[in-house]
Amino acid sequence: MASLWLPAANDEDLVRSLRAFLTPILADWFSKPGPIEIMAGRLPGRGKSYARRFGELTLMESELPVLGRSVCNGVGDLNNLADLPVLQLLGEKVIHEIGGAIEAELALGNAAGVNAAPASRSSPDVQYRLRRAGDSWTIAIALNADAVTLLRKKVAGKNRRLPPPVPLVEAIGDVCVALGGHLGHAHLSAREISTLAEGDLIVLDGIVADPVDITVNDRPKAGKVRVARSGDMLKVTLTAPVRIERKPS
Amino acid sequence: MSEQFESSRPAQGIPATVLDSVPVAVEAILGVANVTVKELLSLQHGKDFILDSKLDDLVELRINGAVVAHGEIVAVGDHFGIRIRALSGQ
Repeated sequence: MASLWLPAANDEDLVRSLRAFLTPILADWFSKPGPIEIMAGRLPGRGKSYARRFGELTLMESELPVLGRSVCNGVGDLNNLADLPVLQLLGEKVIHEIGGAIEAELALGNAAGVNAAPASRSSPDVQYRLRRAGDSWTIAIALNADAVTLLRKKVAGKNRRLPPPVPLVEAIGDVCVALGGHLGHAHLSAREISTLAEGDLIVLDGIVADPVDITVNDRPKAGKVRVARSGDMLKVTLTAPVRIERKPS
Repeated sequence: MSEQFESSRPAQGIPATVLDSVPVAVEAILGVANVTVKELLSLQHGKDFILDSKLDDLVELRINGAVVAHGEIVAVGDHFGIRIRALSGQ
């Protein structure tokens, strides 16, 4: 499993883009690359201003196929002899390759030189650092503000797509609605209403021979039907197609 | 008890002549059926759809969407009419 912490992990497009291009890169390096977890967070042990532009990629030791557990005892730094082979390998292979791939993907300037220690790499836009905590090695990737902007622009250009439309009937076909027929209005005065009694006759403005409005969930004007009798039962015949309108947002 | 009595009385302070000039729109809704959206959209022009309701089923009389009475459909000349059969709350 690889975990990537990003301060901007709530930016879905950014996360999707990162995941999309990190997945094939990591697949080259791990025998069983699991899902990439991307979560909000920041690189521990750094000041706030720095942390704001940090992402952190954690590679679990067991997923580095060429490394044995035995070489990983000690603190993950260049001063520890036991860690040196690991740092050497991760630094030369993983950091520089992954870093290069990320920079190429973002079309950033290349690292200012491969002169640095194998466990670190830096370019004007991206910095990498390798650390060890317990059993897990951490590659910290720091993007500066410009690089983040680039990434966002790239995301906006490439990945901002709408999901394919689902046919309306398929999406809401099973929803049950109440169908009604609107027979017409009458205008009475409040006084007449208050004295309404059984047996009273109210004449509506609806014409018997005319099609009536059908209501769907009490919303009027969904369509028109002609009401007729069919034996004992009522029968409606559609005369104007049913319309489904979006609620204006 | 007394509340019920009061609410069923016409408002005391407003003269009946004022109530005469307050227009209230009532509408009659034929409650017909519960259908799925799929069935609704498959209703085609000119296609018959037999409803669950019988001819002598009552229709709803509504004011501002609230059902105030039930009545049966009658024809008054060319127009639909509603003969009140039951008032709500009785």
